Amino acid sequence: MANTLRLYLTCIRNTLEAAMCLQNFPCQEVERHNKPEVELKTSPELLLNPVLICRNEAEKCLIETSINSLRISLKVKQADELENILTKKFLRFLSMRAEAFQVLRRKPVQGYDISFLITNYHCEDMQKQKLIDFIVQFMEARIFDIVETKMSLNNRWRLRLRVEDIKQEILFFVYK
Amino acid sequence: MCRKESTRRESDTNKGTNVDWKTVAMLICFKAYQNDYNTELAFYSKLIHPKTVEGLKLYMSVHFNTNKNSQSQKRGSHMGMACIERASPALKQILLKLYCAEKPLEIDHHLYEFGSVEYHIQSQAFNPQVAYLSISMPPLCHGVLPNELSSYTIQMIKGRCPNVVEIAEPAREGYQLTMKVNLHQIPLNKDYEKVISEIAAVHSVILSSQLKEILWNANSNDELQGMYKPIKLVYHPREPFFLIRQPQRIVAIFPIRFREKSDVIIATAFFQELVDVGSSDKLAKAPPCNWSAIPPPELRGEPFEDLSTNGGFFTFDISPRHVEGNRLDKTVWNLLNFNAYVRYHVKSTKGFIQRRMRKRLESLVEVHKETGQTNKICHPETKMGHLRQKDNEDPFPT
Repeated sequence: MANTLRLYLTCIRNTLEAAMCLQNFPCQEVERHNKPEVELKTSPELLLNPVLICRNEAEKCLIETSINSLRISLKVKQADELENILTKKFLRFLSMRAEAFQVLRRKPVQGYDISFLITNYHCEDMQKQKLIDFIVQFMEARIFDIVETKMSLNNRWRLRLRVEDIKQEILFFVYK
Repeated sequence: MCRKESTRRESDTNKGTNVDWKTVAMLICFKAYQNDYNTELAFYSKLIHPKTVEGLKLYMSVHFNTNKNSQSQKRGSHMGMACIERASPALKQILLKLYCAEKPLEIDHHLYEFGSVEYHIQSQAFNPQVAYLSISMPPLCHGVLPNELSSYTIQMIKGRCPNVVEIAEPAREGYQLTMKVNLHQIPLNKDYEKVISEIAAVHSVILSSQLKEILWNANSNDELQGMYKPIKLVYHPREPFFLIRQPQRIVAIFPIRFREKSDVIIATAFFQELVDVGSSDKLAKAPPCNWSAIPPPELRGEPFEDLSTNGGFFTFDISPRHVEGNRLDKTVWNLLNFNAYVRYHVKSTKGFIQRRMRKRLESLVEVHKETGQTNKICHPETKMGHLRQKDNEDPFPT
């Protein structure tokens, strides 16, 4: 793993560990309701300062914390158009299957590619450390996966072109 | 489209035994579900005539969907070739069905390919040895070629299977060519499939010979003046391409258009890869290819609608070496199908990305599941996890 990536992920992990101290807190606006304050933002006293961690201009992570909920938004680096569509396709694919993850937000926060919403109930249901591990692992896997998919696409094309040359069937009119 | 079965043909096709292949098919179908269909078929093949075995295979494939495995294997090995097979798959299947039929079949089928090519195949029960195949297709190049087929094209078709195929004069109404296929002249040995494929590839023969004619005749006047006008060819509707004949080479230019932006991006990445691979030392004999986002200078003066693309222009420089002798046929067919080839690659790439995403999702769900399970194990005193414990509490605390 590149050093910069390790530092970036470590920074996110440490921030999440500090921020993930959520507690049950009923809504102050609506009686007998319990809503994620980070989404409503109705009571400023319940919100903490958001933390923005940037690896570079194209790759950043926004952690917004409140008393009962935490929102993590990620922006993944997209070096070229192919990476851009790979990222969009995969993140849309995940968002459409958000129920499988519980903590995944169906729509990302504006300016970011994917968002997670963790409430106090999630923290009670799941182990905090494992949840942080999942988020970090997700980011790490995603960053690697886009590059890997792009590389395997190129390899696949190269391989296919080579196979087709051997078969002398198509496109490249190779007569050996 | 109609399909009638008439009286039973003489059972002289069986080798001494009167095994009805439909009964055998019923027996084998049970094995088919256990994927042991080939073993059973091999056993019965010894008892029945090779033609009957072919009929059996067809019957099984249609009624019991048994050759799914073999088909998928075949598809796997010829994936790259699926979209550019010379022989029309539907036509080939019908001809095979006619040839392998134990009973005389009455067939009257109309087939359409690429939205503009029409086949009509007719066989009558009282004359099962003969089938009539008619074909109608738009000219490859409007204005240059007449709508009727030239004598050269007809000679090429005749030359493919001289004994089996005869040209019927005049052609049926609405068609450019009608062929009389003498099914009894098709050899009984293993070559029969090859012969049928040749007949089913009539469309490719017509196209190839038309393109050859265009290349021979085009620009004969312009050459003297040093001008080389592009020839616009339309094989697939909405996907025209250009050929420019120059003294030492032929330039083929493909304007690339896609509906979706993602397709354009994938195709562009693929073209860049193609250019890289094509310029490597290993493929020095292949024609040089190039991709550009803007129209190449050879297309200067062409109408604006032909030059407006979203996927750029892909160019092949074909030297005389690539069109010598038998290579010409292959080159012509490859050029005609380049667009289909690119579309096939884009589609398979999308499938590949989808498979990878599914795999990734599964692994992420596994990781996420571990997150929840671990917590429940961590609280053995409740044995239900925190969520259940919370469920028992008042959900709306005041």
